[in-house]
Amino acid sequence: MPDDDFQAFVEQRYTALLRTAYLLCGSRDRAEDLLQNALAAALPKWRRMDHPEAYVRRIMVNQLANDWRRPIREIVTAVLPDRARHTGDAVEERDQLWSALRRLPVRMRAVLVLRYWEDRSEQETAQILGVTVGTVKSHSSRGLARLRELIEPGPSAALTTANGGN
Amino acid sequence: MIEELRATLDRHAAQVTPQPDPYPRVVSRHHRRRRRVTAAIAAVAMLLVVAPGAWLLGRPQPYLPVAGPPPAALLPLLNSPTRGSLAADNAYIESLRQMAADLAMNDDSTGSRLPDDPAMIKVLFAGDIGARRIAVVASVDGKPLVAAFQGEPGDGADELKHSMLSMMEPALGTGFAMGSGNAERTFLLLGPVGAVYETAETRYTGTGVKRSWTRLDAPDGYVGIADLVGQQRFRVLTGGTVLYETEGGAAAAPGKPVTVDPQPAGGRGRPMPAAATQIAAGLATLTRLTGPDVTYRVLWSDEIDMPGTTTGRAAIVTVQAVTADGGGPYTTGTIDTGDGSYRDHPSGYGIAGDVEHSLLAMRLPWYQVESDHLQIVAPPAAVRAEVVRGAQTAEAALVNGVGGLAVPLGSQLTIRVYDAAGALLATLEYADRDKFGCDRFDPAACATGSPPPSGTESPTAAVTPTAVVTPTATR
Repeated sequence: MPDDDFQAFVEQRYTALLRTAYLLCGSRDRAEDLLQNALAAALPKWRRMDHPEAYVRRIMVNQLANDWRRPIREIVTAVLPDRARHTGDAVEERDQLWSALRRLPVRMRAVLVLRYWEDRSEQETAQILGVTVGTVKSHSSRGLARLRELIEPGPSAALTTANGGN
Repeated sequence: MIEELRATLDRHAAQVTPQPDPYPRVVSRHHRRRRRVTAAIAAVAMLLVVAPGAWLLGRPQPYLPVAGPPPAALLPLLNSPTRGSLAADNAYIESLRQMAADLAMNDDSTGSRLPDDPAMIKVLFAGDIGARRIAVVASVDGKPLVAAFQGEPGDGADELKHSMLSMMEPALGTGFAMGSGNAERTFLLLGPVGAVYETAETRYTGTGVKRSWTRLDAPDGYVGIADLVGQQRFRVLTGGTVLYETEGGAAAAPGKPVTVDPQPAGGRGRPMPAAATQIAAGLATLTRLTGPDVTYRVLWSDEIDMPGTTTGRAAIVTVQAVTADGGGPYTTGTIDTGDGSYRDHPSGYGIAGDVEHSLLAMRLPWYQVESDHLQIVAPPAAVRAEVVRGAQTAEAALVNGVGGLAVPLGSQLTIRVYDAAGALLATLEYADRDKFGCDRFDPAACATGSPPPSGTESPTAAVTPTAVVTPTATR
């Protein structure tokens, strides 16, 4: 079952895919879990795949979007996470735009990540997510609008100046 | 905004580094998944108690919005006021409708979905039950669907998670569980305004199922149970007519192992010990028949050809829970001799008396394509079966009471079995059924759209939902 090409794909693209996974879900442990699951699902279909990266991304988004179908469970990772790397969480919590992004629906968040972080075209984004270009446009414009709403100063909101205003 | 978004994403992505050895972990996970799926399928299939409402997720032919007025049977619920503690919060109700429509609009799958027009969405329930915020919406179109969402008290509509999508029925009973490791389950029972809600104690015997119903207190027009213990049966009535009946909660595995003698009664087939144990445990879970006066026996077991399995073969076992009167509910299941995957068929469930007098007929579970084989499990002394379908009669030879023949699917039959001397041993009126009723062992016991069937007892005084307790072991 293991395949040299697949192994090379994993080793070469793992970090990039993991970063996409992290931007999608906002948790390092969950990102590893998402990506590992997607790759494990891709492994048996590897030889039949034309666009493995797109497949893995789509699996990750679908997995996140469908989380409610599965019981919540403890995520078990083969290697204990490096706790030292989590010291940035306090900073993350103060990052208003990041927090706002995490409040968007999964597919809307995925469109923003693919369009503006991976610099994918609308067409590519639509293909990766298996949606129409119209859906990508709609998610993109509404997602940006929603982000603006979420980071606008409210009467009782405590804002950080670093990320406020556009 | 876009540049700031890019910078934010860059900054956060740059902090992420993978754990060591990603490829071996992927391979290991792949192998674990295969093993887990294989081992889990049979157990999960047995433990799941499927509500009668069709679960639409993953359905090959999706239900999409259909123009036209809703069916008349659904109008009482659709025309009822929104229930729940947030029912009067107009802004929240409006945001729920918008959220549900947005969800449909953004649904890129090919699965079933609600309309994407909020004007076509009705909020049936919005409110907090215990530690959950629950919302239930329905589409107001020619083929209404119902969707449920859940979250925590205080959550906005956008923060609720989608938890169910189903065809709408005249009333609704749905549970909201947070996870397999969490026994807490919130349950909502919702009917048209003025509906009466009841819960039942169930008792299986060799002649059928008996239920005694207790009326539930529903001062706000619904029943919300914050923590439903175990599995319970509920029904909703209006004007004395049963609109809806369902099981709520989770069937708990029996507290102690179920023992079953793998030798089939009367020498009907070959012993399949592992499959018999597994299916007996599933039967005990479904019926909660685990008392000291209950035993389990194999009515028939064998290994048969089964297209679609990994090996082309499957173990098939019919197991019966035997109550004090010598009979009780039975179930039939097949287990792939290769990967252990489990299947059943609605006709493989029922209630039967003692072995010497009971005649069973069933379609076989299937993995690839449904067979027209009709399986007959008759008293062990039977050597011949006569199957009457309209004006046609066919015969099948029986060995120790077991045999079968090809009969077109969707048939209504009269089956008679005879012993070697030609004496009639048993007669069975059989009708094919391809889906489960709300009681899989006795579908006639809970026919909806009619007055409560005979065999049910009058409701007793109302109790508060929180007073509902785990059914007794007689169930």
